Amino acid sequence: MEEKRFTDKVVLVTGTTSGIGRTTAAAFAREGARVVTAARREKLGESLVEEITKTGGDACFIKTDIRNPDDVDNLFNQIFDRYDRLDIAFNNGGISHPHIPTVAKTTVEEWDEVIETNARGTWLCMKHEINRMLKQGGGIIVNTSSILGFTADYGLSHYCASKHAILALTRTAALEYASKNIRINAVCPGHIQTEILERAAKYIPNMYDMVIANTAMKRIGDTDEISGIVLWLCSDEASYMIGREISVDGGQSI
Amino acid sequence: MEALFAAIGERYGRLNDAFNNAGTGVSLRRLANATMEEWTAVMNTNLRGTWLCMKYEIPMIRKEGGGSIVNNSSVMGLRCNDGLSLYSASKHAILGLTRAAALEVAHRKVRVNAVCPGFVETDMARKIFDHNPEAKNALLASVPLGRLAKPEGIAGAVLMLCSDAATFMTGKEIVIAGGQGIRP
Repeated sequence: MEEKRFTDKVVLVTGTTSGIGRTTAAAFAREGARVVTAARREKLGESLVEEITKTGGDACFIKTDIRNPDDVDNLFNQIFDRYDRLDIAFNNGGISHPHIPTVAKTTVEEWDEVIETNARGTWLCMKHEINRMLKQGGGIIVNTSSILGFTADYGLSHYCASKHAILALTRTAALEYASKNIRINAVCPGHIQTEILERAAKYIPNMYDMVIANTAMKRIGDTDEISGIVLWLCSDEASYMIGREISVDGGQSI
Repeated sequence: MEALFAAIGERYGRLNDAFNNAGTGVSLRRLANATMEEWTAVMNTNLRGTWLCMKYEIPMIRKEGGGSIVNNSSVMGLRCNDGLSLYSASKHAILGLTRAAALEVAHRKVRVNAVCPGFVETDMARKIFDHNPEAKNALLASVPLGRLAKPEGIAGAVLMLCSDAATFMTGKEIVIAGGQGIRP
């Protein structure tokens, strides 16, 4: 039987319509959490809730675009109305552009879309989460950065900047709230089999071959190879860990 | 070392995972004043000892079709404090060794990672602090969480690294330091 580390904990996961967020939300639910899922695509969001509840788990979906401050306000109002608390938040929602403009060719629209979703969206969610966690005496936050949060790659300036920013936010907030019993860390995935990656592969010929050649383990990762790390970071075993990241990339960034 | 691994082979016939944890040497002497004996003691135990362990472990773990090695580095493997030159050099080197080994054996399904603990409440630390409460206060001032780590807080990370949760993780470190080393 699977160990249940999160029984009755109220857990928010953003970016749950696909990929890492979807797998992680389901994993939290399997371990007894009451999971609030938030993302833009309603049908896919509701289908995850259906999957979770069908197997005896507890989940709800709140349609949210983290780029939109009103949406984020609504998300947290609904969480607090419903549960009056938030124990754990996994700020995972993020986007990338499949076509990869160089710095000088990036448009303001492209820049804003990525930065406002990934960096500002994460900060906005943290702002609400931290304020509630301060009131209730503590909590745990994990943000999704990337190995591009400490490295760089061609055509991904906006994405890299946003993921670097998420690590900086993680570290600063960890320092600021260390004494308030709020633990904040990040996970830095490498190339994981997700929608973002599949979309990128359509634009970049041989992308999988190139990535695999560069990765010590010679394969792409699965989403459940990230969710296990996220759940561990949210568990009591990580109680002395703050302001740090765990990189999970099959050895790509060594 | 040969005797150790021969004994493991004799008793169990195999090795699945290893935690190379043994280390020594916090002399607080500056590097210009350190002696050759101190250098040799710290480097032989921390660095050569870790390398030697891996040298024996890797073929045994490979034979089992894969497994996980975890090395004990330190937050001093990423940063340094005054008086910790040799210790810090050895712990930096352990990270270098961890990454190199990870690259070499990834295709053999052997994962190699490290933990980087901050200051842990060990018997050694307790003995030092009992005689010098000021040192403890100065140390705690540099730890945002305001307390030392418990050995269990490191053990959990080591077990996680050897578990199915970490199957895509190699060549990396988990820093468990209560926020120490985040600020410049």
